Amino acid sequence: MSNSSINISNYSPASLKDKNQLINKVSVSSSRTADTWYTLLSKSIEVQASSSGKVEVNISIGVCPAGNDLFIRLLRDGSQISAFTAASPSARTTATQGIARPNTSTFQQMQTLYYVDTGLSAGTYTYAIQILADVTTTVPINRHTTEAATTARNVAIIDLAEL
Amino acid sequence: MSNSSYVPPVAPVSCLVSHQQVVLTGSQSVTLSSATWTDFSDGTTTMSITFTPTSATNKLEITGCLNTCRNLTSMYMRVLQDGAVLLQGDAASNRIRCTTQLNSITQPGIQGNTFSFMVLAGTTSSTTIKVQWYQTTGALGGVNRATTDTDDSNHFRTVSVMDIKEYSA
Repeated sequence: MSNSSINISNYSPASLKDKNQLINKVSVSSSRTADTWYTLLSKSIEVQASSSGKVEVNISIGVCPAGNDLFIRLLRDGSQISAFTAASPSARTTATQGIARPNTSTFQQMQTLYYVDTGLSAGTYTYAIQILADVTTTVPINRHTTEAATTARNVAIIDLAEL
Repeated sequence: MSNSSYVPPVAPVSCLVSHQQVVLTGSQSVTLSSATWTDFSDGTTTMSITFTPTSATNKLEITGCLNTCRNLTSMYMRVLQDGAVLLQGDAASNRIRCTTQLNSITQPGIQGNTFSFMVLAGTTSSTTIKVQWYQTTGALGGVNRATTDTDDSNHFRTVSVMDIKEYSA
């Protein structure tokens, strides 16, 4: 290997102990027939810290609300993270983040989410992102509702990193 | 030079020194006063973190997700450290300078708005980093809820969060 192929002096590794990523290229339309959340991404990570472990969760998705309001929620091992869940919503539905409808139905919206999960013991944790519309409707994922040569298909990404 | 005798130069390693977080799990509707920057809050907790960096040259990675509603007009958001705006657009006559814009939406939607950037800590004294928001007219807005918020499962409540990660220089 020649020196010209790598510049070691500029290499600055972060303190990441582990890092997992899942890219979902599947484009689907998920029909909501009840209050059923659709799992968009699910990925596991092994936390090495014996206590007070931290996992950074970064999400990027693209959806086309098409006249409806969408919501996403972040799960750890199948449940919403208690410290990161809305308080006392009564009959309302708890979510992590809203994706409001755009002014035009053909507009596709990219959405990001950043969160650091804390207080974790050593072990393997599975994080999932689910999506739901506010009314019974079809939720396009990684695609537009009405597809054409002028619309696009994109990807959804979940990045997990132990800090 | 044989591989066995080669010692690569020591790379500078940036390590996580500290992590601070504030989570807003409550919600409120609020009518922001026109032309006034207001601390971002769910009515109980303010989106604000006070901590003491270990070195002025350490780097702070600031990320946040704010869930808001606002009916058809725009709101704006900025991030400040000790009263000084950390990151905002250029000045242009009477234009509002902000870090990012909170989308104009219809009801009963809630829009998650995110930001992520890095700055130097700049101090080893106690420092406060917080979020403020602003609207151009005095209509109703909301944090972690929609303006339309009757008690049924088709209406949602969300959370907002800000994380600050301090990395060694």
